[in-house]
Amino acid sequence: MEDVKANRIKGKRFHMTSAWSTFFVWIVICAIMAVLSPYFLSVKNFLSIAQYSAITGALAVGMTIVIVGGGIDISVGSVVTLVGMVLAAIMPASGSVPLMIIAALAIGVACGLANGLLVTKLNIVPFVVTLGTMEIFKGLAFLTTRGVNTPFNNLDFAAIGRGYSFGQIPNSFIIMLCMIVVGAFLLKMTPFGKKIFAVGSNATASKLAGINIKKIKLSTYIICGICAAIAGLISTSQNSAGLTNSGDGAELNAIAGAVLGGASLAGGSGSMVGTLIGVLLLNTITNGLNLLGVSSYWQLVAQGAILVFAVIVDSFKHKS
Amino acid sequence: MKTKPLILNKKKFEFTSTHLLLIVFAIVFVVFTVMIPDKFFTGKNFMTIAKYSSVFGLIGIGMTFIIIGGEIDLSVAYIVGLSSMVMGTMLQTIDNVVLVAAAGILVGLVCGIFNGFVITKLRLPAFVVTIGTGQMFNGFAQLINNRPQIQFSNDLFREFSKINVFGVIPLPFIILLAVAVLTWFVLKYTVFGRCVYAVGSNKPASRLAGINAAKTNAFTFAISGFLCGIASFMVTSQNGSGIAAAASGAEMDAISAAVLGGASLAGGKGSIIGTLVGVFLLRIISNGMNLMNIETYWQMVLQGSLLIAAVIMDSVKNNKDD
Repeated sequence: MEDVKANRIKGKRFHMTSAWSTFFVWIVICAIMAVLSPYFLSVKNFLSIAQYSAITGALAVGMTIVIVGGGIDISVGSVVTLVGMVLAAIMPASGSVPLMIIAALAIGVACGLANGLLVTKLNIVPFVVTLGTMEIFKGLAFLTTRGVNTPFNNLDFAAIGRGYSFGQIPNSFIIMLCMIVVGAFLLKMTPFGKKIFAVGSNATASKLAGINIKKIKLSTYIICGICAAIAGLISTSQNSAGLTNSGDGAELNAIAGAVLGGASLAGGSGSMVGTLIGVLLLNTITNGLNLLGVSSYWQLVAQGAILVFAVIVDSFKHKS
Repeated sequence: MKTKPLILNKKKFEFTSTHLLLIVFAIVFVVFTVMIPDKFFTGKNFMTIAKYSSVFGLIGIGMTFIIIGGEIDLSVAYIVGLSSMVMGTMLQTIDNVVLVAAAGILVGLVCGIFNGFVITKLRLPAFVVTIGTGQMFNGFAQLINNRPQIQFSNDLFREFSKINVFGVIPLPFIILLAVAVLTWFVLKYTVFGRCVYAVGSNKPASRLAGINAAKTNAFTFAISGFLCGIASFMVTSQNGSGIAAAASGAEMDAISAAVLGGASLAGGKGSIIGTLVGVFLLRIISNGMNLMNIETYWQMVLQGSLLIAAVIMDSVKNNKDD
């Protein structure tokens, strides 16, 4: 009897460690920040957190889908940079916003397709493939503008990342929320989503069950590429420039956000709501550190430490 | 009679894996010699290649240990950067070159031990952990002085990389060769070396055989960290300043070199000699492209492509073995 009880308690704890416990940690951090900084608890500041969560959030949506499918994509940061550079390069020729969006999405699909084909057709470990393509995409990004930060002036385009709708709500945050909703629908409600979970939790069994695992995996990388392109679009619009370092370290935050939200690196688990909370947590920490005037170098350390922490929590979940 | 064709087959198979690299090496060498004879095929240029190969060779040798053990380390470039910044900072106030070099190497060792500890004690996936720890090292490196670079004026420290043994061979290169011989011996003839191969090729089996797999893997990370420390000493001496990004992209070079040299990312395979040939190949390609004034951005594209090509070769080989 006692054993059963102990097990149950463990089981409950296990449940706590995913999205809910991240939410709890977020509340605690908000409380600490509210005490430490008088500027933290204001509508304006929270809207600013929302606005800057959009890039990490968009990346994390794609990352969650790839991770649920049992893969990983560390090239997403370079896709962000590549989108920024290409948009900045074509902006002087045509300022048409729909064209920019189409161009960005095309880049995302191409990058995702490249990653996906290498992973599925040639059967290579995803992290090595995307480590290689990370360097390739970055090289291509630098080639488009010869490695120079390229600002531009286009108010219509800037509205994507900097504008507001319904009064004070940042457009970029709305885009991210839409992506979360679509992602959640895709994962939870469609056969395709169920198949992603199946492939991620047991590829061999899914194959025997008649699922085309290569096709599913390829689709997850393409979706991730598209999400990275949208993140690039938002980032470029917010900066009104193609910046050489705009995607640096972005993969770290995207992976950390997804894993904090309950996605397991072993594949087969994860949720969009969890990812949203994970991303908000990360950006609240960044915002708090900024308000406290902490050096950006400490923030790099924090970024790395949070990722390691998230992976440790993930592994404990698996052991229990 | 029947055994003859079998032996021939075996020989042919071996030919494709190891000697292919040497052939590619020879082709690249000849191509550059023909295309840029006045700049490439000179003693001075070979000395330059040897100097840079020493830095990347040491990192590559460390990575080979880790990969044979079935793990990976994406933080090596940042370990070098952190160690470089520590040395650069210490040289502002301390004149004792030996002390500074020792401290730099110690920093590398500590980072390696930290990686190994976190990965093996908590049984975490090495690639994500080292992405995280890499960013931490990167942050620390820039925190020391609140900037990513620091110059120093210690001539003795700078002099180290300029020393030539017998007037022609750079001292760093001699160190690389010494380390290579030592590590080759360790991998081939010591109990620890054989354990690394055993753990990499089949972890559960090696555990049943009484090998402490976690300890073995942790040791490979420590060795890699130590070698990164020495590499950092070399590169810092060459640059005359501590630079956080001194070895940026080195993880890619090191993995590519190891895999080109026959190491398998699945673990259990790899050799020091193969890795060294891989390192020389990559350095010669990079050197040749520099001499031909090809933009560094193209080199990034090539670097990434080479990594993927190396891994494709590895996966094709593995499929054949199955």
